[in-house]
Amino acid sequence: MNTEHNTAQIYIAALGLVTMILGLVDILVWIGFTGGIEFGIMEIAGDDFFRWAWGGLVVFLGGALMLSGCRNVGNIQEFSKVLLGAALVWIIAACDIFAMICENIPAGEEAPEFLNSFAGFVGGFAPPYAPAVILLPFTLVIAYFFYAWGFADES
Amino acid sequence: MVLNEDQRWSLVDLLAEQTISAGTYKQTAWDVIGELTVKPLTGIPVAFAVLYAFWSVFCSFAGALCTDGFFVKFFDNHFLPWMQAVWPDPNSILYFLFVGDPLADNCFEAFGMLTSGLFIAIGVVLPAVLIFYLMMAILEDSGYLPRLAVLVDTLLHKMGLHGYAIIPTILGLGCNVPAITATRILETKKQRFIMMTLLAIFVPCGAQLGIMLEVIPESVGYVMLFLLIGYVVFGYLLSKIVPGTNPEILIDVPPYHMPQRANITKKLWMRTSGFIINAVPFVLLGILFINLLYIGGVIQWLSGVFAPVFVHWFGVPKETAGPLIAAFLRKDLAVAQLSNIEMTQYQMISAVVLISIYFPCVATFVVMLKEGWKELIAAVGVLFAVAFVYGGIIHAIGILLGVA
Amino acid sequence: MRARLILASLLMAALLCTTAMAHMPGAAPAPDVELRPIQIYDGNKLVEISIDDLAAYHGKCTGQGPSKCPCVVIGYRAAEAGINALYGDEIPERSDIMIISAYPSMGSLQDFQYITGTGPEMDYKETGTFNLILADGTEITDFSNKNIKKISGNIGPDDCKFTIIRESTGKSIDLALNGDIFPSDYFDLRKKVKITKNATPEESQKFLDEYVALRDAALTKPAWELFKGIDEPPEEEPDVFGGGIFLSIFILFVAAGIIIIRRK
Repeated sequence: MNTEHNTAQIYIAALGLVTMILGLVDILVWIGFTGGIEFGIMEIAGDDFFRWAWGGLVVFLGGALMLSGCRNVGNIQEFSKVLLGAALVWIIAACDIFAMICENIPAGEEAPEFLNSFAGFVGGFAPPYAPAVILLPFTLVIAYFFYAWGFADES
Repeated sequence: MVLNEDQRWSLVDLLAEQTISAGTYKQTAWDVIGELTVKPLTGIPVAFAVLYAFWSVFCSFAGALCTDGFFVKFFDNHFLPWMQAVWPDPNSILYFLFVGDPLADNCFEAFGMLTSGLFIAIGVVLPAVLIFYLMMAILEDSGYLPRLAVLVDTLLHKMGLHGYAIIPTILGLGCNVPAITATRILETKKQRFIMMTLLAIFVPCGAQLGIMLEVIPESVGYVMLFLLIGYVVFGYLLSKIVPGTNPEILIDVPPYHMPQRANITKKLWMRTSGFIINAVPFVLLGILFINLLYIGGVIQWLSGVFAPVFVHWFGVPKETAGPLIAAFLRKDLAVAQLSNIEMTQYQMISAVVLISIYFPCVATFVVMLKEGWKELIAAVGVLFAVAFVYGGIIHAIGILLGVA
Repeated sequence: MRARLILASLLMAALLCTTAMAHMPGAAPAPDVELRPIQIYDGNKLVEISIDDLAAYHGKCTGQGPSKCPCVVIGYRAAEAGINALYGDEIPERSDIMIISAYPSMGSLQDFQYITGTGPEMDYKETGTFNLILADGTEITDFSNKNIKKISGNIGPDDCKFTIIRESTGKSIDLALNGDIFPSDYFDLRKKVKITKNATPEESQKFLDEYVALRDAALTKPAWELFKGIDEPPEEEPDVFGGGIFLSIFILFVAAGIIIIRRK
């Protein structure tokens, strides 16, 4: 149990740090220190205040929360902070994915038909993605810990 | 058999022993999370995230999916040509009233009661209001809303309000009409008056938001920023001027629980149908009325009378005088009309902020009247004063920044 | 009682105010276009040539101040489309560009001179080649205002032909301006207003309107509509593979999550 806690601690600390950095980069790109960044399957467009400044702030704070709780992961108080930090990242990622779905269902503006073709719909989900979406699978590990370590039980 | 007091208590003890079990309380993760979301240090990031989600889902669903994705195409490519083909005599007055400009190629600019009216009511506002009320219901039922009220309580108290005032504020972003009714949860007259006034002036309704996203998507952030600053600053000023008390109320914070589907659907149905019945007729009648008055011809005269104020004090082009004055009936229509006038981005922001703050739409006016006509007159007086002052301030800021 | 009277009159006043709405006709704002600047290498320096640079140069040469007259715009669009077609994402060397124009107008002429570095009063390290060869084959070498004006008296839409050549590979592209961008009487009016200067006030006004419309069209239409010789770019294929992977992973996780929660 303790070794599992230790590895989890390191994992969460690293994840929290990366999340904070990515959130900070979002905000910096929006401010204009550099143009949009594209790195592999990740893309930070930085053009829209709401998505990148506000959303970036939320991601940053999520990382900070994860980091703040990683010291004593077995404790329910600390772990809840980690879970909350992960939840913030989930919220941003979920909103991004929902936006992708909503944008890909209708056909384009010029096309006369209403619904997008199936290929068009699926193709709309192709990379690159925002950082929060890429962090999403990594943060799901925290949900696993939540259930596996018994925090979810109510007695 | 009649028991005396001692015997009754013994019976109670006996029953309690057999039915009640006591144990130690173990704090679950949900409890901890519940606490964390109320405390400011951890709660405010969560509040940011929740508000982000609110806005993002609203834009994606109402803007990208419903309005841009379907309703614009349906109304512009199918409904409008059909109306234009079916209605006889393009030069008649009836055609102008109901179908609008015969040369228009989209429902937005046609301005007929049945074309623009239906498009705005069903195509733009209805999806916005629907998704808004859905998310509001989920927030309420999950138990998050009282926590949000606690977080903003300190700030709102400085403005003479109470944390619960966040509820009418958020409701007002959907439609001002239920928000005004919701001010009844506040205790004193002073709190209710300040809330009502702030709602009428600084909280744009879903219809306005929807139109703003359609017409000036890149400036919406700045408009909201100005409105937010006005909300806080003028709330503070009002709390100093208005007589009355601002007591503390205890907020009961329930634990988190999964929202019940039945509750959500009931609330959603009730609020959305309330909106359709109360507000939509005003949209249709508003356009009809405006068109009638346009034919009457008094428009240009009043526009000319007020033009100097708008150009020099507010710094907006004189053509905006017309829409600004017509904003009484429907603010969202006024924003739509503004989009046709050529002006800089800053002027557009000023004009839209002016429309938002200058007068409540007729539906709101009527509801405020029901709450008390004395308060209504006072609110209107404050409103004109605020619109004048704030409009001038925005213009001054623009001059300082060099963009006006 | 008095209060109610005041309220009633306030309401009436407010109601009357609504009549002041002016029904705005669609006053279209100025076309908001994003025109890519032409990028070339002059020696080792990267030079960006935008439509404003060309307008300024034209103004300098004619002594009249920067002007985006239709000819300047057409010359710019032709050069930009041609260079884009020949070089794609690569940035050409100035010395590698050869432009042959059949259109004797000062505006486009000076555009091509500026781009190839062959014009007067220019600062450049290397030059391309620019030739003015009319539709009938005559080569014009005298680029003075007087001479060009004289020749331009009889031009029509068929003279708007340009050839851009990539000298290092020999690849070339022929561009012909789509004649329907010009109103039918445009060149006659132009001759009357600018060359022979015997136009009536109505004709001058009509020419002015057509001039503005032509300039706006040249600025806003996409290159494949403006010129014969440029094909419409094909629609981008959606990346079904990438999107499919994402969607399947996503659906898998959601399904797993639902199953786990149901079990608890």
